[in-house]
Amino acid sequence: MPAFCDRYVEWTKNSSTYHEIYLTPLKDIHLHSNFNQEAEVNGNGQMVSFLFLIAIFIICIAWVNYINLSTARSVERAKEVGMKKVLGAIRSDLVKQFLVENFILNALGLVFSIGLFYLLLSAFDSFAGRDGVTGISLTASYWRIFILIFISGTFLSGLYPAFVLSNFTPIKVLKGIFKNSSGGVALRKSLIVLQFVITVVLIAGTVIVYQQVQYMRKQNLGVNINQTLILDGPSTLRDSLYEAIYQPFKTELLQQAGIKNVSASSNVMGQEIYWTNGSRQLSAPKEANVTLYNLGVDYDFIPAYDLKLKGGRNFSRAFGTDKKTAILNERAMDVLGFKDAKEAINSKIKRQGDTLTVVGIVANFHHQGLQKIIDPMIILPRPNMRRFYSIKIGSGSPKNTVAAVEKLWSKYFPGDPFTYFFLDDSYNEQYKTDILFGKVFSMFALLAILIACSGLLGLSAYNILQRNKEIGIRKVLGASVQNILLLLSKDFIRLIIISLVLALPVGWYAMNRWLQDFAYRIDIQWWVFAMAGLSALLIAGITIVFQTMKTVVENPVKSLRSE
Amino acid sequence: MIQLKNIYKWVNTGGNKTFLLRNINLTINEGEFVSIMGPSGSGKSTLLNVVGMLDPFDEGDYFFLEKNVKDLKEKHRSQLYKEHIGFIFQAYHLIDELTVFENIETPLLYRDMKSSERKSLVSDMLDRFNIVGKKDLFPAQLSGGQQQSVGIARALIDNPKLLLADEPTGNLNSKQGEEIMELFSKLNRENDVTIIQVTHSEKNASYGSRVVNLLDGRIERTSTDQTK
Repeated sequence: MPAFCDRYVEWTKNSSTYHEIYLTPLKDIHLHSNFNQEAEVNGNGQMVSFLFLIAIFIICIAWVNYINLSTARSVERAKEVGMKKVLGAIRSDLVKQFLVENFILNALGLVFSIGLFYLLLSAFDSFAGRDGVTGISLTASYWRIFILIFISGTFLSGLYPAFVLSNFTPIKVLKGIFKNSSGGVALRKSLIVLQFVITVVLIAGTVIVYQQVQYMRKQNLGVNINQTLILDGPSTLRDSLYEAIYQPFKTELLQQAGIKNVSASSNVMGQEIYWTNGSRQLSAPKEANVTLYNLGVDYDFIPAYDLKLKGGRNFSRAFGTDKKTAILNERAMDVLGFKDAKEAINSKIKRQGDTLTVVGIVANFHHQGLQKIIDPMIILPRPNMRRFYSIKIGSGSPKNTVAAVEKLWSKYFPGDPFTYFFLDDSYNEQYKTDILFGKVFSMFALLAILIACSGLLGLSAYNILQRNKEIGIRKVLGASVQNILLLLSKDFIRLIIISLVLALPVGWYAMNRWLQDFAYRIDIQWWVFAMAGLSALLIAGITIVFQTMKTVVENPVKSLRSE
Repeated sequence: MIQLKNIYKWVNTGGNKTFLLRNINLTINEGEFVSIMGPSGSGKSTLLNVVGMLDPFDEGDYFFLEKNVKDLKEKHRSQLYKEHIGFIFQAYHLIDELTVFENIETPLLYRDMKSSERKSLVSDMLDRFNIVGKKDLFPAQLSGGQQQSVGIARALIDNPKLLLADEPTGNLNSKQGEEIMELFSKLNRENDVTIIQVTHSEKNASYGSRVVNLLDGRIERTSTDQTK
């Protein structure tokens, strides 16, 4: 490293400030590091791990389901087992048979899912807004992990049923007297609870993510960013020529129908400010320096954006001495140690060797999205600032207005490309990741519900099978369809209510962790969980009723006939 | 009480009809004790199920207490047999997860009855059958005869007018079987309960006042026992 630095970074030796250079792994730039002036907009590393965790949970639900359902199915095959044993099969033969069957089933599923994956990939790309990414190249290590998961999943899910089944004593099975171990029942019950805890948490999480995003987008920003056309300012003009060209440009712009305001600044809302300095009150010692974020503006900027002044005034040509002045936002006022606007106005601060007079305090506004806290800002008068032009548009079609502006631009700044964007659009881009997260989250929630319900379907089928005789007897004794339905669903409903109770603390904790990432966040309301729980209950209820309906309505004699 | 007119019941086996009951004409009056006999497959159990309204029939008319069963809606039909008919099965069909007490109580759960009322009825029945000490045991802990007693107690708990018994002593030894048949006799004589039983045994049939013989779904002959 040192040799590298010496060769390419000569200025380090000469400058008076201490510079440090260190390496950042390339992949970290996208997801983890968050320094100023990075090469790329951040995805969110934490969110990706979050989603990965959820994916693991969903696989677990699916595995759990598989064990539960295959155990249930095993009852149907008990006769086959009993018969085979009578005809001479020993236990290990049967275990082998079941494991092979299981493996074939899983292999088929694997082939099918890989096909489905590639088919859905393009659909997912557009869903997730990843245009132009042509596909995923999977590394060898990925495949290794994949095969590992597949084999262990197959083996584990096949083992338990294989052993349970092959255990049946032939006579008992043929006579229909076998009973499943109570340990199996406890396992199944806790697995259902697990499934539904995950489901309820995911449903509630989806709602909370949605609420948070809506909250951020609907908040009052303290600044008006609507109907604003932003132009990248002209950079090729020499400073000496600039003002002579800019003024007539601005005048002619303002004459256009539909244009209300034209102002200039070093940054516009939604952009991260890299330009920072240390400042302090004039009377304070050097150690009191705090970092302030700079925004250079012309005279029209503050009124154009409806920024509220809490005291003092905007910059103005009328005051000749405005060159050594500054306007602070409330945050800056606080960190510099001023008690209130009254104290701050007309006092002096020291910034990078300069002494500036504070002439105004502007109310805090959300320069960036509500994920971030409001930084302490120092607004400086830079009448000839030309990084960004902010054009406030009134009535009239935006398309026509842009065309008109472009025409003027080519007239006055022929050497510069016409680059524009609408401020509210670009500001909302900050929420893109969170919106995407919400979408993926809801997809996962849906997946979880589907899997959990299919598990419930299987288990209630098993339940009915086991209690077939009992149902027939009760019907003969006078039970109505409703009576039977209630009887069969009672156990499951109880389990789901337990899941609700467990899901509340788990979900609360998890979503709070996620919300910590946002400077401005909603409070989690308990009714979100109640609603999630009720919908899970409803879906589960419908599933159970659907499954049991056919059997329950059946002729009772049928179930008793086999005796 | 019961009138069966031209009852037919069949199942479709691949295009052909297999008749389970053919042209059954039978009248049973209140207070009778009828035995239905016949070889395996003659339709005895099917006939019993039809009488008990557990199984539908395909053709004919069935009048129970003067009402035509075919005209009744499902709800009314189940109401009818709930109120008047008790069923006893050969395999007892007790619910294994419930205690003796709960098993006997089960029919009462589906009537509108207070818990205290139910308890008193069940306790009375336990006493009648002399199984009070066994009320918290599970069916698996009882002998065959005891299980059948519980089955009978359950069938009687709601004071049915008609008792249908499908080979009630089929799984019992001779002594237990005798006790059961004595019980039936008593019920028929003293409580005016109409009893229709399906049986293989001549001995059991002799407890009744009438015998109906079935063969291949048809009534072969009926005879009345002169000694009753």
